[in-house]
Amino acid sequence: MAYLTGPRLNFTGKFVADVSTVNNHPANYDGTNYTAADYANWDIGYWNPYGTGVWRLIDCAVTGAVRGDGTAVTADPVLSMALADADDQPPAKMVDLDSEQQMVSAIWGLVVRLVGGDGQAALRSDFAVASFTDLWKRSLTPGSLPQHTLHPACMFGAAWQSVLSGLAWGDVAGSPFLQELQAAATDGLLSIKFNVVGYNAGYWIGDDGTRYPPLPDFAMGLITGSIGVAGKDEPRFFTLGRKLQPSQPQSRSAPTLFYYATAVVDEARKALTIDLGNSIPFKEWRGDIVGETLQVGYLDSARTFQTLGEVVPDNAWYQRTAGIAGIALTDAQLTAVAASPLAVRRAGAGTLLGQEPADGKALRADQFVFRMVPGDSAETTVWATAFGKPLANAAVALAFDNSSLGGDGEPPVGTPPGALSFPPSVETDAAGKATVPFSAGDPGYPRAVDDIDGQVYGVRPTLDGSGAGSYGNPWDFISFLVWSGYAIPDEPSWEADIRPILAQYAALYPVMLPVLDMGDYDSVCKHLYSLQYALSLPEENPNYMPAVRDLSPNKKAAILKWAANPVRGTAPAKGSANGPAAPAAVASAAPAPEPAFVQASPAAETAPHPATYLRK
Amino acid sequence: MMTESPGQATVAARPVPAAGAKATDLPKRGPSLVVRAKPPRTLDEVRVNLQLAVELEHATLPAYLQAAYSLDEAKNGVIAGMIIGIAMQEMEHFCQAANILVAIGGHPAIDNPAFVPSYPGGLPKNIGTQPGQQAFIVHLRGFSLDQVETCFMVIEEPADPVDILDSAPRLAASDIKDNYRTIGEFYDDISKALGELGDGVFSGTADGQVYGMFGIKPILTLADAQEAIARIVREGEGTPTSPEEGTGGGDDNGMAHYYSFYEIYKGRKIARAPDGSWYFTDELVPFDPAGVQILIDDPRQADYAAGSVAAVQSEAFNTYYSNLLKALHRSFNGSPDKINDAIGLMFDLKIQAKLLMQLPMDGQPGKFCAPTWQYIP
Repeated sequence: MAYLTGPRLNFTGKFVADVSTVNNHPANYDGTNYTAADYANWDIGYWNPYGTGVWRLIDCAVTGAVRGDGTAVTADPVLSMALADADDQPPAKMVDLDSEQQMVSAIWGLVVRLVGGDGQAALRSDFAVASFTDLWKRSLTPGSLPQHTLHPACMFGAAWQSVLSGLAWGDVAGSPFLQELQAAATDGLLSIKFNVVGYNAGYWIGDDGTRYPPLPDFAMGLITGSIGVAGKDEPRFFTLGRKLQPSQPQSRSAPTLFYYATAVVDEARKALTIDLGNSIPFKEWRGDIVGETLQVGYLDSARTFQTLGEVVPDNAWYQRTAGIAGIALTDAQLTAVAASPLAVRRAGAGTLLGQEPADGKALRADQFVFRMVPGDSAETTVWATAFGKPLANAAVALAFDNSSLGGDGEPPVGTPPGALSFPPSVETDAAGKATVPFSAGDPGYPRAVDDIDGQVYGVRPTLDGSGAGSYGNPWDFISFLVWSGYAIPDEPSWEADIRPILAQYAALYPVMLPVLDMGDYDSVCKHLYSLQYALSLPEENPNYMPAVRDLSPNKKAAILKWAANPVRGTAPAKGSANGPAAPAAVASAAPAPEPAFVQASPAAETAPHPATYLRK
Repeated sequence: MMTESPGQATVAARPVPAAGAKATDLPKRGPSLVVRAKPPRTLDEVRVNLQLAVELEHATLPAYLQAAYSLDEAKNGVIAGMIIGIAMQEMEHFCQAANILVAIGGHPAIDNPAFVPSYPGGLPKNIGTQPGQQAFIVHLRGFSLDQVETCFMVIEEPADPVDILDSAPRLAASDIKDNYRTIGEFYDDISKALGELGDGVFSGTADGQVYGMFGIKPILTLADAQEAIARIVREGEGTPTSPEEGTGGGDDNGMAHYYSFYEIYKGRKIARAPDGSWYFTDELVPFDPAGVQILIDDPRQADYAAGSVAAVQSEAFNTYYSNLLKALHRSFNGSPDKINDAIGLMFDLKIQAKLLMQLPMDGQPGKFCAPTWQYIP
């Protein structure tokens, strides 16, 4: 389903992810870490302290298209179109969930357009806020990357999947392909998935001690992906289909030669479509993709590999197809794959690179990142499949799994567990899906020492009876940020209430300083209208102040209340009643009641979670 | 209010007139500008001139903002605030002129490369110097007192700089019939022509207009349009009898743009004495030369090596600038709500400018990169 079924176009180009990195370090939240000299020297937090948070598409072009019947489009105006972001509104922003969960960075406020040579948009659409997943060390060596202090993120790849809505079609009369795509999008939705790799992050230090961004394309990477049709009744953030996982255990020392892949079988068309777009490593950073011939097949009843088709990867193939291969099936093959695990191997090899589990079962939550305040309810949908078909009446267990959150125990994550509640299990319906409700309580200030609001939690759904040999993806857990309870003051004043909130953002997002010093009363008053405007927008609006997407709604409301009557007031004596300035009391707060859930062991058995590779 | 005490040491680094001295020594080295435009008669001609007005109001923004953004607001916040205040008024005038154009059935054209000045060069082709005078070239530069005097004050010079002028008017009457000596005269003729055309050419609806910010009201009638034009002229040049633009102005002290730049240049505010003369007050306009980022002059995207951080950041700036113009175009062509995106982009623009101005310029030690204000279609 989704972009793997029906007409599809592929694109390639570059992206900018000008992430701000001061907030990657929990120690930076109290705003006292750095001196003026540190600011001048960029020595204020990791590799891109002056990041704007901007996320943009750069020089992306359509490279290929496939019709609904699986045939390749060879002549159509779409093949010379560009894929672009907005041309009349602020750029999209990329935002982490939390300093202790940086592995689900989301894109907010992205407009995706298809633009013809005449500059006219054939399509304009809104990208639903989505986080990346399936992060792995995809560039095997630094290769030509000439940089001095290489940031590990350079070597990683990941994938985003989401839907495009608000489709505004331009003149597509000249493009039979776009007419077909438009006609197929009967729910007014398109499905988009893209893979990112070759990111340039880090810094080098000059003779004078100054930190410099590395060339070329600092804060940019390579993007390759696809746009197809989405249905309103299918998952938005992943593709319902057959899930292949790496056959070799993941480890920090050995290179990963294959990563998770999704395939769908179209019975009517007798075809298998497999997305290897985030599965095949690159030999070196921005170098060639590993080019060994791959065989896509299945394991027969004797566990023997039966080849269905071959893929010969090279960079041109990757850019043209986004790593998606279509393979025609015979009737016998169609029957065989219906109940046999799909697998991928190096041509002729005795070992597999990736495969479906023997039982063909897989499970995933659709929306997997949530921000909640005490008292909030939220829900996600988990989808269970067996060999790509709905797995009805399956019991799905839910348990905390904080194993991939946080660093070395400080600040703590996942405590108190009582601030997030959910049922211990749910059962899937006839369509193989189940709704999981979550409700948030008040976590208090478990991270008051670092002055970080709220707490992060991980919850992992698993199919009952899962064990060794079952499908498991370390990234398939649900991340939560539950903000601390905060009472909006009756008459908020700058010194007592607002400065303590905003000063943190001045420290965390220094790029704003020359424009607006959020720790300074006069500066904030001067920009009051802009602040009110930016904070009053929906969060998915790119105008929404990028710096404060991690601001709890009540604190936001307090700021807006104050802005209507911006009194300065006086600073309270230290340790006074209001808000998080009372760490001692918080630390001794009565522990929240333990929930009835046990900690799930990470799905990937003995292997360290890939998140550990990127820890500070 | 800034008083003498803070920043005294740095202020003393340049000669500043004594408080109480007569403010009658307006410097004048630059040429005098004229607006080459035909006095409009027909509805179509008024539309053409209003489109020109929109272009003129925009044309100064890159130069003004380049200077303002080069100032460290912690050290030169007063001057930066004054220049940005002026730029915001130009934006207001831009919106007023565009609204009037919409109100009489026109379609402001904002999203095209021709709309954007190039540097060195500057103002739209309809702005020129008096016959016999040296051509006026606008340079895209960081802040300097010289830039204020020889560029910004020339651009804003009123037809008759009233009684703070210490000598006879320097403006020679143009030899070319129909040329306007100032933008104010140019606007006055639009106002007159609209008066001749009457209320009938106004749609009478606020549909498609952008209003609500900057104290802008929709243009529904001839009277609305003429009032808006009077405000533009007043804010830009002052009235014929006073540099103060009267009530309702935006920048501090209510000085017309020309006099605000004059205050920056001289380092002191001016005010009118009870006897009607103009004098320098005790309020300084402090300038700290250490609070200016030294930028390269007249930068172009091609000055930055492909793939360099400067090239990427400059391209981002130009993208936001172009997208800002596109958002404005759509705001005045059927989607007034797009103005919010335009306002949002102004923030992105400033942040991006400040980022770029932190990057040392390759091959020019001591100088920093600067926005190039180029349009990306």
